[in-house]
Order: sequence, then C-alpha cells, then structure tokens
Amino acid sequence: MVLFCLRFLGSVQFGKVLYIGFGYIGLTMTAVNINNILPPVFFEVFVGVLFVAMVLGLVYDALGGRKLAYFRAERRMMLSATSGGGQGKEVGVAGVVGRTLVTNLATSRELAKCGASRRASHELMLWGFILSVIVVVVKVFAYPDVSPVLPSSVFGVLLNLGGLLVLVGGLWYLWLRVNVSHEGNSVFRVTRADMFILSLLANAVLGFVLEGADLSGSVVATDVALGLYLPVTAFMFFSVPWSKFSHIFYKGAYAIQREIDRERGVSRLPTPSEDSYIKE
Amino acid sequence: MPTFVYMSMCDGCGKCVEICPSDIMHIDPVMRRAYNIEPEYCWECYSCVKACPQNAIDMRGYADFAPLGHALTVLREPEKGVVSWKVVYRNGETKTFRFPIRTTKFGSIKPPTAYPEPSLEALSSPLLAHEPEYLKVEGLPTLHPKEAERA
Repeated sequence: MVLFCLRFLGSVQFGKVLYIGFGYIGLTMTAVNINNILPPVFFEVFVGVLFVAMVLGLVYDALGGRKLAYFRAERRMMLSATSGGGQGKEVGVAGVVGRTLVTNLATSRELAKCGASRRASHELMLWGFILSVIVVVVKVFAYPDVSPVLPSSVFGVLLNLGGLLVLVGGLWYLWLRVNVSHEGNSVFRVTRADMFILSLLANAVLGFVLEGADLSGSVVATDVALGLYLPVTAFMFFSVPWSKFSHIFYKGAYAIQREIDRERGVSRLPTPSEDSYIKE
Repeated sequence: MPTFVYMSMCDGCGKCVEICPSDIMHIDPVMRRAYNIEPEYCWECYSCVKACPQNAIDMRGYADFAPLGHALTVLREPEKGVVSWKVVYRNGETKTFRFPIRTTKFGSIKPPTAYPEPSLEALSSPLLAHEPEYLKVEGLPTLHPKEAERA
C-alpha cells in the first residue's frame, strides 16, 4: 500500500494528471490477478449466497419481525376508514408499478417533503448502490475472466463512480440523520439504525482500498484487502433482518401500494377542501 | 387522545420531533422512524399530526366516543388555510369537520427576528415589541403615566 502511494504520488509529481496517474500505475506495474487468489467461481458462489441471504433475511424479517402482520393490520384500518372502501375499481397494476418506479422511487420523490438535502444525499446513495450492484453482477457472471479491473476500463469507471456516489451521499447523510439534526445528538453517536449506512460506507471505502491494493501489484496487500472487503460485504447482506437494508424493499412496495390506493380512492384522510380560505 | 405513528408511512423526517411541545416525539433507534415515547404525557395539541408531511400520525380515540374499529384522522391543507377532521364510528357513520385556520399565506407573516431590535428606550413604553406595526394598526390607545397611576 505504501509502495502504491509512493508510486502514485511520484506519478503526480512528474506532471501526470490524477486520473492518468492512477491508470498509469495499473498499466505499468503488474496488477494482481485476483483470479489467481480466488477463482471466478468463488465470486459467483459468493454473490449467489449474498442474494439468498438477502431474500431469506427479508422473509425472516417480514414474518418473524411481524412486519407483514403490521402491514395487514394497517391495511384493514385504512380500508375501514375509507368511505365506500374504493371497492370495485379496476387499476392497472403494471402501469402503476412502472409509473411509481420512474416518477417516485427513482427520484426519491417522497423525500422531497423532508428537505432537498436529504433527498439529494439519498439519491446519491441509491444510484451509487444500484450502479455498483449491477456492475458487480455483470462483471462476476458475464465477464469472470476480467482481472484486474483497471480504472480506465468501463467496469472500473462505473465501479469507481458508484463507490464515489455512495461515499459522497453517505457521508453527507451522516450529518442529516434526523436524530443528529433534529434531536441534537452527536454525529458520532451510532445506533442500530446506522448499521446499514455504515456497512455501505465501509463497503465503498474497502472497495477503493481493494482497487488500490490490486493495482499496487502487491499480492499480500490484495490478500489483506480482500480479507476485509468480502466479510464487510457479506455482513451487509447477512444483517438484513436487523438493519435498514430491508427498507429498500418495504418502502418501494409501500409506495406502489399507496399509488394503487390513490387510484382506487382508498384514503383514511378527510376529503380535501374545495374552498381556499387564503385571502391575501 | 394521544398520537401514534404509522411506521410504514413515516419517512423519519423529524418534523414532529421538532414541533412537539412535550418533547415526546422521538426517533426510534432501530428503524429511524418517529414514535411517541410517552403517550400519557401527550398534550393532545396535535401539532405533530398537522406537521407530518406524510400524514403518518393519527390519534387514538377514547373509548367513550370512538371504540373498536373507529378512525380519527386529520388533513392539513396549508395552501388553502384549512384543517379537516374525519371521525369514523364503528357503525360506519362518518363525520367530517372543516376549520379555516388562517387567511394569510404560510410564511407571509414576518417572525419577530425579522424586525429591527427595539431600542432601550422602548422598555419604558407601554407598547410591546414592534407594536403597533406588528398588529397592522396605525396606533394603540395609551394612558399617560399619571392617568395610569390613578387607574
């Protein structure tokens, strides 16, 4: 790592542009072929295990954590409080899902009422995470022999961009956490609700560390970086029942349900006023 | 009737935490959603209900008027200057009440900090800070100190 840093600084010192310097090391030094340390099939199995762990964790949380029972109880309340119940109205579910995904979830529209900063930081994290996941899955399953992933390659650019978005959005969000900004707690106070974002940030940081170690050409450094990166990534997916990871699915599903309710006229709230009392 | 939060609707924005005069709306340390930590200390002012941008807060109705299957909800429409309440009784009967709450736009009234700081001499005046302009009148009747003493 030290060797990598010295070489990196050296390249900058000799007038190289930052990005070119980064790629320069990868091209001139012999980057570590991670496939020699862990075979491609390992990463395929690893990603598969993470996916299964995430699904099982979600099921465990929904049933064991009584999230599903709570949701059903809330639905009963919502329907009983709706005049007429909105029954019998046909709604094109596929259209609603598509519209919600594009106009609501993709833009974090729901968070607009929470402030522009929170929405922006959430957008950065959301798209950074999605980008990283897609690139990793494509790389692992479609291009398993590509190693090392150079920063100048398409994979490298997209992975670095995803990691950067997560880092910027995540660090920004740490200062926007509601218990920090509204309850006045220290920004360093950590609760269980922070488990997901901290593991996400750790994942992004260790991803950059792994990239640096890989490009430095040091097998030992790459071994160590892999030894840190893989458990932290696994932790994020295995901790689904206890972390806020599951909110990705719950909030998405609830947003779709709310759109369907709106189409069907299901609302527990009073009907909006037709008159405005604002005179000035 | 103390308030409670629907966790699935709450975004954890903290507006209820900020506005609660009893400081009992807090953020759950596990899922980062708002919740009423002590319903018995609720002043029942419903500031949080009206402030919630997601309409995620409702009231628990008392058993003498809204038992078993009831619902009591509120809709705040600041752009229209009106608050509406809906009571659903367990027999399905529904009553809606609508109250105009203001005639000026939200944000159109200057807060005290937007006015210049009063001078020290103003302490001897019977007028309160920024009166009479704050009250949008030309002047207020005042008593001469001697008349005040006699009164």
